[in-house]
Amino acid sequence: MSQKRVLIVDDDEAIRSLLRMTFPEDVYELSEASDGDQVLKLLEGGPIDIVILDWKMPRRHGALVLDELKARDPELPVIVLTAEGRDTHRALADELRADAFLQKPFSPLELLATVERLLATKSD
Amino acid sequence: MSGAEGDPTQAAAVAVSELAHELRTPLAAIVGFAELLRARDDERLRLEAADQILAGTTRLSRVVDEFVTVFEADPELAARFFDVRARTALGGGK
Repeated sequence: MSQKRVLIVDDDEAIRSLLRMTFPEDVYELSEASDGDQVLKLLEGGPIDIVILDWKMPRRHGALVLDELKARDPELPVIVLTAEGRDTHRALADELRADAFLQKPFSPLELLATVERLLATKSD
Repeated sequence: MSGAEGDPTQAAAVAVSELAHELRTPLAAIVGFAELLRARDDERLRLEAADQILAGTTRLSRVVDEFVTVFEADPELAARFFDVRARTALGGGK
């Protein structure tokens, strides 16, 4: 089975480190962006299976990145992972077709299960 | 996402958002690494988790110090905080 390519987008190094440790190396190939602008450059570098997207980031807000990702590929699963807890943010993410919305602090094992579920749904 | 300067309601929303980010981000690293430590036996994880949990608690301690400094400078703000906390039933953690 080929590795699944996960794009991690978060401006916080501690969160990126946590996500690196969450995904087993033999199953997932990770690439990382620390701001929204880097995401678009990484997408040019090759296909991505799923994106884990921070919301509040410098330069380009996660909502703008999500909108652009879904405009490019509506089938690309995107999980929003954010410190924002207000319903307005969740509603905006829903409106922009986020596939899941998890609030920090989050369970890495629950995140992993969500990624597995979305990738399984995508390959059906 | 901008223009909060002239609108007190918007400015307050931005401040709450900043505060949520300052508190929940290091907390996410601490809680997340602790959960992985419980679930997995991995030496590389153990070392990284120890470093990140320590770094996260340092970040949170700094925020706590800032809270105390702000409340010392404005005791009425501290009183309002605890009043709101009691009214929203958030004070039951002890």
